Amino acid sequence: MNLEHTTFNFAKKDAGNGVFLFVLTSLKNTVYQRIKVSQTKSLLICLHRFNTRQQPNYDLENMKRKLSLNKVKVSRQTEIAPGVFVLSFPRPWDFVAGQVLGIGAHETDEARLYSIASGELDDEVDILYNINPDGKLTPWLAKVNTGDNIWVSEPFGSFTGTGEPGWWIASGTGIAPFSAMFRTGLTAGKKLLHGGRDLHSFYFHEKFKSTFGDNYVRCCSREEGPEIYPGRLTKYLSEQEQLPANEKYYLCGSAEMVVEVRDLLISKGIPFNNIISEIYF
Amino acid sequence: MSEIKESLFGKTLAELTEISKSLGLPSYTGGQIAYWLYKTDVVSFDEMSNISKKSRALLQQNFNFGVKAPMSVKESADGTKKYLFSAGNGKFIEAAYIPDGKRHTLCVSSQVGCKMGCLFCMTGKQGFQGHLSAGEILNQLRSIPERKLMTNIVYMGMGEPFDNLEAVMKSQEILTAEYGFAISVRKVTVSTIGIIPAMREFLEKSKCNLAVSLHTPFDDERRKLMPIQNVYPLKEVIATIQEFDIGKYRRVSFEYIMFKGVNDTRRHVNELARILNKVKSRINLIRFHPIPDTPLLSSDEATILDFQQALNDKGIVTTLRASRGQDIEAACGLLSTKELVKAQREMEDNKPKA
Repeated sequence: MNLEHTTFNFAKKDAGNGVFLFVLTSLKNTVYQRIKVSQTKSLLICLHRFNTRQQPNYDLENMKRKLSLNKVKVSRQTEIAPGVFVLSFPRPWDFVAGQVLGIGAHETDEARLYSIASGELDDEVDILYNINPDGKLTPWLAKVNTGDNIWVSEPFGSFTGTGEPGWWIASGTGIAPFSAMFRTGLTAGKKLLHGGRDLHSFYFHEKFKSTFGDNYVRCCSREEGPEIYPGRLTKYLSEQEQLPANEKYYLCGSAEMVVEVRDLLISKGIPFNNIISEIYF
Repeated sequence: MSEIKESLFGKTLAELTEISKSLGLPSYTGGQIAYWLYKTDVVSFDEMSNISKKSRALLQQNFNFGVKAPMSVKESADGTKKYLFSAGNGKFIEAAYIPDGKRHTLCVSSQVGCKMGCLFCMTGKQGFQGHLSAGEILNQLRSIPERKLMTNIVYMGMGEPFDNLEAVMKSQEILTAEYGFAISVRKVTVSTIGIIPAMREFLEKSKCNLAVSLHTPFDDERRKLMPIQNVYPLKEVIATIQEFDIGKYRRVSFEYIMFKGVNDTRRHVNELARILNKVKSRINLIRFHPIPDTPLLSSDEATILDFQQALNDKGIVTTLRASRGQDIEAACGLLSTKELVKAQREMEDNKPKA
């Protein structure tokens, strides 16, 4: 996408200390980039710098601090399926859809990483997680109520979305980064495949269905239901006669799913260079 | 069903002393137990002859000894051996013993399978089935006949050691402690793909060597080979290592598997030289051992040697690792118990339902 040929609307917001936040929105209402500029700099210079959606630059000083945790107050916690929760807190920083953050019960905890499920412009940060009975954090997290404090790191990571056509492939709560990209408006030309064991595994399906229509496929391995593909993700993909080799394939989920799907895509002629994976560990 | 008892093998001296006290035994019994566990070949409490019969009975009543013999061994034409161990509940791990003149290396596993999903690794293809305890890591050394010959231990088998940091740190304490296997810290290397918080803790608390899987110096290429790059980028891994004074004897090395047309060009040499310019380290080049369905090929021999020379010319000490045990799938990146896991699952699926 080239800015010279694209018209943008932008909103300007005073972020204090002489810094302004410009939110660029394309005419298709796709939020394109959030730019902070000082009052003295020209917006045009910034536009030039962001003429494509960049991978985030790694600010090493910032990186070293990234797992230092800050206290936030939980604004909501909803169980959206048995043992699966969305936890929300007011957004304290900017992030790029697809990034992760660390969460701990205490400031000194070793943080566990979770993808952000909300959009870049949303007022709150949503975290989608399921309870791991053997885990140290999630059994505690599930008991957190509105008004309680949790500790979170700043967001980081480069598994981030683009406006180009592509495939989003997720299993279970691996849908979270795609939910963030979806809520940020990076939906043009995307196809979303979501694998789950049970019919209640397809989190946020109403929103996905209404936007993507037939480009949203739910693959259920243990139950059958209307508009549900009966079988695993890999079965669905192996039945596809032709997959576009020049599009990007973004995978997110367990190691087993990512490795199996990646092997399958490669066997169907997708260059490994077009496969980008995020593994939950 | 009787309760599964904890194993004593894999406990530190401090833990053994605490256990002795809690059982009402003299505190020095901890040191005696450590001797039998880590300095001898005995495999049962009855053989701990300097501990009273009554105390041995008490230990046996509360604990398992915890040393388990390997299930099988395969031997390569080049003398490399691959040992298979049960990790319980239908899980299996492998360890590779690599003799090379006076040097005897054991490559140990730290997890059953792996979560990291690197494109070039056979272990990654089986997914993740579980963490190993410190005892299960050390058992790979303790239970094999070559144990007393061993000069070097490398955590480069199945799994990502820093995804199982607690057990890895405990096992390397026992490996290097006087009361334990007393192997020099200079002869123990832990290999990681760069899980930064755990790597930082390791660099702070351990004196053992560190090896980092690098495989390409370019961010966008690396994240397609190694998904971890999306979370912990190489630049940050290197910056973290630079925070530490590596010292005179500790070694940091970067592992670099050579993939034809992917990471073996002059552009890669130049970028490696640039990013490692100020890092006290060396590069270890590794020939790629193809795995099923891989889109990657090994660089040819001439390219590998040129690449090595070019890096050495730029002042980066670069070695080329000999491929060992390829005929028994014991070479780098080939360890896997995927077929055994699959067979076990099929067996469970075929069991008559109650």
